Amino acid sequence: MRDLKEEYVHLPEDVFRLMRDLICEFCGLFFDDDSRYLLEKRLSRRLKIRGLITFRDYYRYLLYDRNKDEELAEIIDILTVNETYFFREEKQFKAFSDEICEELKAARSESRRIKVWSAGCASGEEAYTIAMMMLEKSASFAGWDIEILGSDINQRVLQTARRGVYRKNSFRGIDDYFLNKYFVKEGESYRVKDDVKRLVNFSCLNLLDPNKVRFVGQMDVIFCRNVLIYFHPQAKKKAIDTFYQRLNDGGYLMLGHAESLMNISTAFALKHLKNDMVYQRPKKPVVSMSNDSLLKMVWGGGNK
Amino acid sequence: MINYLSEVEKRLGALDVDIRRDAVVKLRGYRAGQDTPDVIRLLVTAMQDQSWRVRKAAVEILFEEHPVDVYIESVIKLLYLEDNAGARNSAIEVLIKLGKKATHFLIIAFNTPNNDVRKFIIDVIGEICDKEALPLLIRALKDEDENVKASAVEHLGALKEPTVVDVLIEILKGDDLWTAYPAADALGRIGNKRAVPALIETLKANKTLREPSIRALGRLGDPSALPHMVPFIEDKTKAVKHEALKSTEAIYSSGVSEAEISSAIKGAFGERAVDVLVEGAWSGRAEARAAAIVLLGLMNDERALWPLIDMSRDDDYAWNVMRALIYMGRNKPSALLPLFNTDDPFVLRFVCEAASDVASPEYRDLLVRLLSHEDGHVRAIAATGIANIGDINIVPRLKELLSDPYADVQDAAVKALAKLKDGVSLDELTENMKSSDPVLKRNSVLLIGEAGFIDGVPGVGFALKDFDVYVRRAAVQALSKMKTKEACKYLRIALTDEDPSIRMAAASSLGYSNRPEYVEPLCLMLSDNDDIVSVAAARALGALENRKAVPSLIEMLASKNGFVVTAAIDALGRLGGDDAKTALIGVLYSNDKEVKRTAIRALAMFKDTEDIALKFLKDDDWATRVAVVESLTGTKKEHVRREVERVFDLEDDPVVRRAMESFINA
Repeated sequence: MRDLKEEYVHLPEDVFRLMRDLICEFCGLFFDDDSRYLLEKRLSRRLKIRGLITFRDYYRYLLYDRNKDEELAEIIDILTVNETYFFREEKQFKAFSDEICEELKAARSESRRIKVWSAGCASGEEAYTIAMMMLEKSASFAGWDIEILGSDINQRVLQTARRGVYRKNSFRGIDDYFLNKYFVKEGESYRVKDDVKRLVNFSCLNLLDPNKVRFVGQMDVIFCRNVLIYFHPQAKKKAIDTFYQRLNDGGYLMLGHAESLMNISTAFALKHLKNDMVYQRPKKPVVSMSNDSLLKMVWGGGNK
Repeated sequence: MINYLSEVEKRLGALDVDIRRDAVVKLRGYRAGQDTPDVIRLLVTAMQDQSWRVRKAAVEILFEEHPVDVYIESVIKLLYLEDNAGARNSAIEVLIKLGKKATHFLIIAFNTPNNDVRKFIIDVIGEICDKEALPLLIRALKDEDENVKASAVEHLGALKEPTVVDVLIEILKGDDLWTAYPAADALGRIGNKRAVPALIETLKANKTLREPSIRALGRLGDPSALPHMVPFIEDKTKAVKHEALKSTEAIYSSGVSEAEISSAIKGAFGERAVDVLVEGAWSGRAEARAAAIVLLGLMNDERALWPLIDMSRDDDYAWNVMRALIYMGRNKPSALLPLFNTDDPFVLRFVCEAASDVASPEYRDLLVRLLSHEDGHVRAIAATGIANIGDINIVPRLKELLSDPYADVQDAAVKALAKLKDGVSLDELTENMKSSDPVLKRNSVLLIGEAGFIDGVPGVGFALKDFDVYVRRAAVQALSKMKTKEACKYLRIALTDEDPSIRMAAASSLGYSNRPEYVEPLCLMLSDNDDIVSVAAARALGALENRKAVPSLIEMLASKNGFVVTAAIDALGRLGGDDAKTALIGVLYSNDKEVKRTAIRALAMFKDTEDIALKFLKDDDWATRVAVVESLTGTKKEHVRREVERVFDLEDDPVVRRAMESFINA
């Protein structure tokens, strides 16, 4: 057995680091030094596809070619784990449904519109879970405009999300009630019903691309769970800053259970809900000021 | 001058970091002279600064401008500053960078009652790895402070000094766990088999030391440890269990026979052996699971087949499982047969691949049956397997696959038929090329090239006129395999194809033709509209090694696309000559870092360019510094070596340091 060796193209240490930095700059994903073998193993095939011989050539391709963004997206697809399932970390969904939705119902009673973003949605289970939670509350939100956006940088997983057909692995956290109500069995798989699909849109977005992210508009709630853990600290800051910009005042940011904003951002307030702790973009204080007071504030004391 | 130094001293107390750093920089240039003690005092003061930038500047000046013996004692004194971690770190950094030059002073400084300082000194000595310090490390083994002792043990392992094996064995057998644990690890790293009996003894006697003892035995690779170590694969403590799996596999990898390993495992667990290994695999982290998979293969037990297949579903273990299956198949081909009794395409792909490598006639009928399987991957791998078995009677069945709807299957069929060439005739393939089916046409063209039917070149050349781009692409691929003069003529025609991938493939192939008449057309391709074609042409010109291409390649250096420029630089490096050298020196100052790095590497192909490269040894970009060091590989010039050694002391970046180390040690 010793004579059987797996053959990959050698990835020199300096080229690994250059590629690692390039990927990080592109999308924030950071691969530590231990990942060199992983990159060598998983990307060797890309060289062949691109007709390149060495990883140094491949690095140059990623650096200069006009199709470099497409290739980088391929790389992200190959290197990232997109493991998720319906109702993952259920307590957060309970907090969303029982507390946040209720608060939004009061706060958005005029516009009657709620927008939720599942950022880094992978194959879509989280976005569809949010949709199911909203449908459960359809009586309270009758006539409201509910919009759920699922976004990911990986085009392949978005295809799965759009298809909406899942195998048993995606259902390890789901109650039979939801399975029977919102899915149709198709052989060994389950297809999401159109009522659920109707609420959700999917989009290919790089969280670090400020121009594209602007397209999503303003959100009331952002779910970004277990995505930023793979990011470089600087990229984390950038993404959190983007979320801050995209949230309406008083909007909520839901991170994974093991994640926090410590050392990343002080812009959000940590709010203790009954079911969970969540981050909230502070509400703007309501200021009402008479003209006199305003003049005093500007000119000070008794000057007029 | 004293006034000047007083001003510097005053500024070192400023609140602004930049003022303090500038003050340190002002101390540059004071070489040995009457003011030296004051300069050293100020530099050492700066090493205690809160800002690392100030400390770094001070360290650099000490290193570059002053002899060690003038400042080392002051630096060692910084180790006593227990409230200033920054100063201590700077001191440790300086001492490690000084390397063997510091050993003598550290040995003297070890005679201190301060436990922390003694520990730091042992750590520094351990990092320096100087055998001169061996007596001190041995003395430290009996230090009154536990941390000093443990550190000494650890570093003795790093020193890999066989003479200390007995001392370490004594420590291992002692009552002090604090030192016995690193002693076990150290014995493993030293690699002297004299330690084996003591480690086995410890394994039996001391539960706490099992994990490091097993790890050490794995490193030593001695089969006599197997009967004592293998039973711990079933240990309740996960860490011990995983270590036992990894170490058993490590002993196998060190060259012990498969039979010895499997007999030790069977001896320990009897009939349960496979179950125990499977349980160990699933309970383990990545390395332990990978080890368990290898061991399962060595058991040659069919009960391991399905658990192995389950593990192969994780990409990270698939190759280990493949190795295990191939091993089992090579020993006993029939062992893999149960895996063919499934409809699961994943399993079938896997077993076909293993069977294809084993290539036993026992698999022939099964593989033929799978040529009709609904899964394309299965059909493709089965075709490869049949070709490996080498049965010419299967050729007609394989020919059918040339029109398979799935491209991977067609490719596999082409390669398989090329291997079984005796059953294929050129006439038949030429006839196929007249077919209205573009798939059959394409694959027949490919097969002519793959099988090397030289007489088929005109036919393949004609296929370059086909309206179907896939057929034309196949023709270029086939012609590039044959490389005859006539084939190259057709490749030249393909340089004008409207499809860039065809132009690129043709240009690349002409690069390996070794025919100077293609320099000119390839030079024309340098200005192709498509960058990837220009890059291929530049590479091809480099491969042809004909200096006529130099002027055209130099023109390419003005391109706005870095991909094209770097390809041209590489080619110029290969071609050589004064013009190429001058042009490459010109791009060394490019704003594009990758262009600069490529030029540094390319210049290494020319004589006497070391001094040009050395100018970039302190470049701001770490990857450029790596390029410089790598470009210097192989030089015999002493002043180059000395310069790299000097800069090595100041280098902070780990990747550049490793490159420098391998240059210095070469």
